[in-house]
Amino acid sequence: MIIDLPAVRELSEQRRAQILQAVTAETGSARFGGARRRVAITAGVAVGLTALGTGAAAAVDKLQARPVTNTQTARCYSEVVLGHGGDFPGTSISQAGTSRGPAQVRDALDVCASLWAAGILQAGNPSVVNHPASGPHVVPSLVACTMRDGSAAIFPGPSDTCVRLGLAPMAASSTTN
Amino acid sequence: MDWDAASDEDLWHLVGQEADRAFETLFTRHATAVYNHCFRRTGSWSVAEDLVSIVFLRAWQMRRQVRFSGASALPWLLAVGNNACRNFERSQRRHHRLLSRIAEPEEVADPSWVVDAKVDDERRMGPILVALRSLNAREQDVLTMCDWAGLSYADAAVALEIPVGTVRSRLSRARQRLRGAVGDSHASPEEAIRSKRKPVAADIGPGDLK
Repeated sequence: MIIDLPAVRELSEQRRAQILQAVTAETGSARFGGARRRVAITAGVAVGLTALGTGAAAAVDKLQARPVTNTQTARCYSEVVLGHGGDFPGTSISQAGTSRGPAQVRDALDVCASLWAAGILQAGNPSVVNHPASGPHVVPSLVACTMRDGSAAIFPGPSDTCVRLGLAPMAASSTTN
Repeated sequence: MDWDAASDEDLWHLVGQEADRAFETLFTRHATAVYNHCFRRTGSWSVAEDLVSIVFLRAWQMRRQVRFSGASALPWLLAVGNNACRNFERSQRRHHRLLSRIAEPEEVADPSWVVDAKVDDERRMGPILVALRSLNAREQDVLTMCDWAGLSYADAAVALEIPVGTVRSRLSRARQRLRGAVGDSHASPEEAIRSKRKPVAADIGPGDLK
């Protein structure tokens, strides 16, 4: 008996696109990255340097409110832990296969709030929850910071969270249209 | 960034940061290989489609545990596929929402001759799978990855987290048992397969197998 395996077949373009769309929707990134609601972001409160006394120039640079300059991606954190590189509690938000632009950053706080409201982000859980129980889910106080690469990061916590993490609060100018 | 030129390893580090574009590129690069591997493990093209989605979702969820062979993620994706194929019914239940997101293929998606050919493929896979399933799970994994999907021993070793020597010995046993199962005393199964099938390696590109 000869084993005659069927030949390799390609997925059709249409089917490939459907599967990819379903998977990315399920991961929670593309699903929320496409949000286009124009909601003003409440920027983190810039803590006055004078309140901290004098400091080194580097520290001053960290604590001043900074505008978002990297609009390619933003992060929704589920814990007040910065993490290392791509390993952090929470998820990134970005837009799948479409033009990327400032609208995404303007939406960041709202999109992250949506993830909390849907139960996809939960306090104490470093990963996204793919099958959250039906709500309502608590949306904590959120604060917007600017990462060192210029991207937005949304943390649960009080207004001094950015400073405690050594990050700059997001400048209010980042949130305007 | 030149996404198409980026290695799997570089792309994978961006999944979760530049998730969508990096993940899309990895999907486009390896979906066909995963699709065919899953078909050959299940004997159904439609089940294989579902499994492609499950494998890539699992890969995304396990993205921090990925093991690269060289710079390729394909061997690891096929290993994820092995588990998904083995536990398909359970995977179906667990990933019900994912599968429900995938629209039913339209009838015009495949010309009738393709539909006929797929039916013929499935008919031919039936007895082959009966023989394959007479092997234990570990033997099935190594045989389908090395002989059917064209992975090197080293790639399979990385993906399965076993020494290369174990791949060799396990594959040797698997071939012998498969030979017995198919009742072929004149040609070894792997020789028969290689002489008849269109090589997988040629379809997925040399970069995928290094």
